[in-house]
Amino acid sequence: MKLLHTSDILLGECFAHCHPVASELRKARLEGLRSLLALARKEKVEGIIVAGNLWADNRVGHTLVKQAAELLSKSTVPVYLLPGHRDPLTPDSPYELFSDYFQGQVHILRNEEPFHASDSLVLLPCPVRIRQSTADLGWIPPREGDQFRVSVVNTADERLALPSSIDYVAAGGRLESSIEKEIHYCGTPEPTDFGQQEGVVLVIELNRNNGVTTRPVKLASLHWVEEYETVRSEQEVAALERRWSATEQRAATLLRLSLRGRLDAPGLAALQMTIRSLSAKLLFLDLRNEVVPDEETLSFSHPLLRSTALALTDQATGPEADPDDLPGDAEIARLALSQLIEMLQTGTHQDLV
Amino acid sequence: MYLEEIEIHNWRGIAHQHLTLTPGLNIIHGPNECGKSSWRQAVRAALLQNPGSRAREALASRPWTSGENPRVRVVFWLDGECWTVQKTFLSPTGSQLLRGDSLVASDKAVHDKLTSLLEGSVWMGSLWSEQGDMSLPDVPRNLRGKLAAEEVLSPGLLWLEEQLQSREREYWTPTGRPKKELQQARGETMEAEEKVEAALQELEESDELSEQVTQMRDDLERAKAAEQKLSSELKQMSKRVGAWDRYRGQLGQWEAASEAFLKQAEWLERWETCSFQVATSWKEQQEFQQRLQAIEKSMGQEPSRDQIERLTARLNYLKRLEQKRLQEQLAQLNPPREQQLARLRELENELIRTEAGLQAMALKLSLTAFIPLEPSLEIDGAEVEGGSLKAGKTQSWEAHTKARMILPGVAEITVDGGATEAEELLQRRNKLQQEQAELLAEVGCQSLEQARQRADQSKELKAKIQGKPVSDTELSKLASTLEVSEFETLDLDEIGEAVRTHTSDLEELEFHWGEARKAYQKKRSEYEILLRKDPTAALRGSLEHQRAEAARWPASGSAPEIPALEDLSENWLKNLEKAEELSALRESLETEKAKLIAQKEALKEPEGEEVTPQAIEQKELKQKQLSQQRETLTESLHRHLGRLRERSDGFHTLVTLQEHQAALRKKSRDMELQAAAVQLLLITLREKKAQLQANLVGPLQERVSARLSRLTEGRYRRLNLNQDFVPQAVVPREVESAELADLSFGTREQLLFLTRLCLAEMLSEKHQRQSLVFDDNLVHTDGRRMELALQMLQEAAETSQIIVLTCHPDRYEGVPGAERVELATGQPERI
Repeated sequence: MKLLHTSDILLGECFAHCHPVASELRKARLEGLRSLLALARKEKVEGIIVAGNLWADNRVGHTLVKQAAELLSKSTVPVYLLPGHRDPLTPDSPYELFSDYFQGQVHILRNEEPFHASDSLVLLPCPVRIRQSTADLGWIPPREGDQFRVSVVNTADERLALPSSIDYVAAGGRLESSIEKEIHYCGTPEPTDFGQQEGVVLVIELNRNNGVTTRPVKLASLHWVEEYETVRSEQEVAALERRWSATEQRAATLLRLSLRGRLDAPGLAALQMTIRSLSAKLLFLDLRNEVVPDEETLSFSHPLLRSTALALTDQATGPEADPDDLPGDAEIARLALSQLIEMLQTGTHQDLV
Repeated sequence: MYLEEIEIHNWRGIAHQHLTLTPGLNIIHGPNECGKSSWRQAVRAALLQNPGSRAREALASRPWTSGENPRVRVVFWLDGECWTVQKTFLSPTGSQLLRGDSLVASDKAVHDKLTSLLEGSVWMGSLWSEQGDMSLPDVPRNLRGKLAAEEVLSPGLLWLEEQLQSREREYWTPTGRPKKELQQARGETMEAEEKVEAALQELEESDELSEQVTQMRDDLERAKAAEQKLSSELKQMSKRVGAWDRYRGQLGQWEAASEAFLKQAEWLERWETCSFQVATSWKEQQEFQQRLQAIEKSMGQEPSRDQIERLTARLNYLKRLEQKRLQEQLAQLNPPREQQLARLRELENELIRTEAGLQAMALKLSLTAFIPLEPSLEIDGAEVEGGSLKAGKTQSWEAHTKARMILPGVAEITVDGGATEAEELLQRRNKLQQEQAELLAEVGCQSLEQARQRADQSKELKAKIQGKPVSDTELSKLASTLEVSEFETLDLDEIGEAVRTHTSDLEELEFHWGEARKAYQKKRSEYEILLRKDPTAALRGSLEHQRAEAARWPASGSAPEIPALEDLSENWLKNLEKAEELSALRESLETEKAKLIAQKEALKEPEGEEVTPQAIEQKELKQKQLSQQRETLTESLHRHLGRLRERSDGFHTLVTLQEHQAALRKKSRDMELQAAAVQLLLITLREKKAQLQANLVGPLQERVSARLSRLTEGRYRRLNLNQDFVPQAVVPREVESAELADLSFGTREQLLFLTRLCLAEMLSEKHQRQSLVFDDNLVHTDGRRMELALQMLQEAAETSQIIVLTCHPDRYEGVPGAERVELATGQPERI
């Protein structure tokens, strides 16, 4: 018995933190669904289990629901959809309002009752009906027959009482596995934030003799990267640019780059160039620039400029404020320093140099 | 700036004056009121005052002696150029400003140009002192600027400041408020936030709608269930109506049967009662007869006359015999006569009185009584020894008396002291005792008490003896008639007992027979009445009633057989047998009763309360209401679901708005960042500049401190200035610090003199030669310090123009290089 296990596809998700490319990101998720079906065909699985949160919210809109439902309805592999915490089975659920869109091999696991998927597979779902509820497997009846019994839950925590009569627990949420409890988390097939390492689906093989084996298969089309870099020279800035320019998947990469360090005037100029270059090459660049001019750059002969730069440098050492908040003092001071240097570079007064 | 030439016409007390000054030290002297201060005021007015001004200061320029307008002409050097200003004050006014020989401005423009050239020249207030001036006006900003280091004033820095100001103006208004673009960005962000809030609110409403739908579905389910339940209840009720109908029918039948049974039972009970009463009556009659017979039998034979007479005779004999015996007893008693008994009483009383007299005597005298019979005893503490009782005064007579009472055999009582009266009393007592003994012997008694008892017995016997005395003959006669002799041998008590017994027997005999007869007669008459009465008479009515009742009974009922009245009256015993026959009927009734009870038990009420038509109507009405409620709910549910569908893209809308908001926020934030950075840079630059300027106080303080130490020849080491260059305190050699108020007037005047001098020096060194005016200062300075002050003036004159106005020219004698000008001559008298 071979199955695909995934969750948190989050169609229609919000990407305010990457708002310039939000539409592309949403499209990618829909495409990811297509890739999932293709993978299912390729792996010749007997079913696809979506352990909750196919939708980012129940109210993602009629158009998207129709698009996704049509796509799923064409699947030749049975698709089992579990309502999760993001898309609970409340009256506004797409599974309720637009249930007729889901045709063919699409099965919505609405009730806490055994679902006989095939002669050899029984699904034991725990659909979410209230957002804050937790899964409870207490209702699961004892084993009858020799069918594989797979429980489907959206979230499972340590408190979940697991009946011994279950062969596999397909859980949504983070990607990890609890061997002791036989709970398997698949994670999202397409990450939604920087630094997320997921982007896989699990290929499950249930065997009476060998037990359960899981194999993650990469499905994500986008790369969410979060990096912290310290630059101290123009050369290091150049190396940074080279590295990211050489990345093959740069057009599908979203990079959150946190830069620190001190640079001289040429280094600062090179950094500006690099930032412009990477912004153009990458799908999205979220820059957290905490780089400040080095001491030499700020050691003006003019005492007034020197003392001004020194005061600003003192204020400039501090983290960047959250983009949703107003600029912090350090960020303002760093920009003030940059402005000062920029003006001095453009000016022609010798007494200031 | 320094002054080169001054020409004054018609200024206060000055008619005309022309002065030429050197760039160094100028000492202008003259007597009081020669116009020195007026000269200073005129120059100040020429440089700074609007000639058309109606201010008090301007009007003060009016000449004292002439009607012509005041006029002033001043030639001065500024930044290497020679300038000439000429002003005519009061109306009509006139002004001219020339650079070299060229006219630069005239009339009103002159004042503005000069103000611009001299930068307000407020600094002149700091460098030009008046007479007695002990204060230093605030050093203005432009003067500080002039004092500042070159870097503060460097062209590059000014360019930078201008650039920053220009950038700042892109974001901020001169009053520090954000400009339109920034405000617009903020506004757009806020607007987007509001839209997001509204979208979130809509989502919350959608959540609520969803909850309402869930609730409605639950309600609908409940309504359906309630409707179904009600329908089921109605069916049950219908069934129950049938059950109750059947039950009621059965119950009616049972009640009818029960009623018949009860009537039968009641009849039986009445019949039984009736039979019992009849039987009882007959039985009672029989008993009465038996009892009468028993009484008659128990009464026996009536007593005979002879029997009574004989008993009466015996009683008489016995009574007479008793009388005789009493008479004999009285005769044997020999009681004392009344006189004897009275004398014995008198003697007894007399003895008692004599004894009392003796006792009274014994209270006074000691007494010894000899008691021969008792060997030794003790009575109340008095010791009796050898038969003699010795009583002291204290134990006295009381003990003696007791001894006498206990020991009546006292043989002798001796009274000590032997009083005559006591002896007489003793003698009398003896005499009385003797007479008493004789009289007792006469009556044959031992004591008075015995004599008294005999007298009493005699009285009793006499009382008992009644009638005439009984003779023996009489008794014999009575005895002979009775033919008994045994009575004679009886004693008096036995006779009395026999009399009482005979009397009782006789009385009882007579009474019993009479009473028994009376009682018998009474009972007999009562029973005869009862026996004559028909015991069935009272039952006739009842029996007739029973018969009538039986006639009305249903034919199906087991009507009882009514017994014949004759059977009851004449053959009541048979009637009893009839009752026994009827016990069969009783048994059958009992069986029927048990059957009825079983039937009643079997006849259980249907389950649930009895259904009334109203209850069914109510249920049907409720069913209708529930049906309507369900329909309303269904309709409302459809409406809500429609609204949910309408809001099914709420999250999508929110996402779009949030992303748009993020874009606007980013734009606004970038702008805010730029604006804040420019502002921060400019503020920091200005702060640092201000700090540099503020630091100018230090060099000035150092310079003044050095001069002060020199002037006071080391007495004061340092002078402290505040940020406005005003002297605050001095540091003497001996102490840490001293307030200015503690210093002498002369020293304070010197401090201000030095501060002005050094300020002018610094300005001259950093900027250009300055003009410094001292109007009769240092008048309270001693000779030594004056000498040193003059040296300093001379040194300062190398960089600054110094003009000293004084009425003490001798104090400034011998200053090398000084230009001296005298104003004393040719001045007009004041009007």
